[in-house]
Amino acid sequence: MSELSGQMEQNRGRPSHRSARAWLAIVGALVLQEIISYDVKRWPALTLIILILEPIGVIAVFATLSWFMLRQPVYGPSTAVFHATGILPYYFYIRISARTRGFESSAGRRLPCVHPIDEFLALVILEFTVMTAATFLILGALSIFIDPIALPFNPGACMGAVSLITMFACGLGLINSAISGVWDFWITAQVIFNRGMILVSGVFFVMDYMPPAIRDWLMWNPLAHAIIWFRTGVYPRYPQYALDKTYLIFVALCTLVVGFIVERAMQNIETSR
Amino acid sequence: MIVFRDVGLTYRKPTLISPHIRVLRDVTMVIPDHSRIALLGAAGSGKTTLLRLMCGSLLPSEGNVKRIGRVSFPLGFSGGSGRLSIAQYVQFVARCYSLNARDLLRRVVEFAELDDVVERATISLEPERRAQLNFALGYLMPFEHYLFDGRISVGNPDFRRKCLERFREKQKSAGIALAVREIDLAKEYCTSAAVLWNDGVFYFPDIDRGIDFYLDVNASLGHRTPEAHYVA
Repeated sequence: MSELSGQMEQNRGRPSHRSARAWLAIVGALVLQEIISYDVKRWPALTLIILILEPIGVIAVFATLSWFMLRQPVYGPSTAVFHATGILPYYFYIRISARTRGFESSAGRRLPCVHPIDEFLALVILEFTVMTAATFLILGALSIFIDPIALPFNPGACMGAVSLITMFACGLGLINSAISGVWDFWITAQVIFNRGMILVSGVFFVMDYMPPAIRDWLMWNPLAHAIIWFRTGVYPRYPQYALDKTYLIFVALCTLVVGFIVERAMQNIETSR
Repeated sequence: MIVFRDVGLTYRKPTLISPHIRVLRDVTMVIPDHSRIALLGAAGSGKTTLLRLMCGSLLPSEGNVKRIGRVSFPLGFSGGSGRLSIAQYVQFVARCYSLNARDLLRRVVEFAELDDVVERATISLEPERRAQLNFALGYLMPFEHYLFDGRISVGNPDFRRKCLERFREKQKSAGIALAVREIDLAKEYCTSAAVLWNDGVFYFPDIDRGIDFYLDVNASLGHRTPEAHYVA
């Protein structure tokens, strides 16, 4: 039998020893595999639609509720836009940290040429792409149907906020996957914690309008900074006295570094999974 | 060529107070190209761990393992998500190793006679046919070292015959490492041996001396291994 066509790279297991092309092929294959086996078995397209509709649903519910309670927007001309600019970056955090915490770093059913970090990267790339598409779609739709202000006048600020949220979520996901390998209940605790965090991250109110005593405590949360930063890209005069970008960058980088260290340290540890 | 330099492996339990489990200690050896090596060891002596270190799915706690040439995964290994269909799974593996996906799929389907189930999810396949798929995948990919964990073929007699044919072909063109407990298997297919005993690996260029050592150490420990009956 003749040899197979295709150029097989030398396989030396660790990413540092592989050529960039082989590595790209592996990450590409993993992303494709993730898309194919995305939650719903026969309806990957339907799953993608549900993914994008979920944040829309949350925005609609909260916008309606607060319209009934307050009768006027918290900030800016439209309640829906205000909530959307808070919920969308928060969903980057929810989805990326949720996908990456289920990722396991032990050598179970993984091909030898695939490093755990490759699998992790593939998950992050996919989630980030889906959420970016959802953000574009939702903000675009809001700007057409509700208020043209929804389209960010400064996309750089939005991208900065979203990438830092992604870094923070990646690090947290790695740390959580390590802890939950030892202690199963951690995942449940994390889900409850994340759902609660949305209330104190400044999604539904303007952080600068809070009493300083409370605000000083709430601003320890890096997500609150990222959401203010995201909104400064949408509202030209959004109050940003509380925003501290240095703190946000510092926390995101630290979480990511600690996450990678923990992932490496857990490699030869027998976990309950 | 696979080079082990001062390799040690320790499995740790997640709690700080529980003891560490040492599997391998100070393993230094060179597995040359085109060698046919048997990894002999009693149950739980670390054969599979050594194979995983060889292919790179485990990283050593100390020292390093260097692979020169392409090393296979342990044949029969099933990876990835079981939700993928057989076609998708084979294509995924092909992409990971930068091989032509369509070509590999055609050959695997032909070799393992899976024409009727190509679109079914891997997990829904009968275990025997799933094993056939995984063996076909390994045998049809071009490697310089083929790793086997306990068996070299699987499934129905017809498929076993085909596997054996491929195995004989590979014996001539590539290196083979076979992790076994049965000494007759080792004797039949291998020319050198590495015996795992007491966290260490003892390399013998001659298979017969390796088998002698293997039987000696297991007898001295009082292990009544079933393999001992074969020679007695």
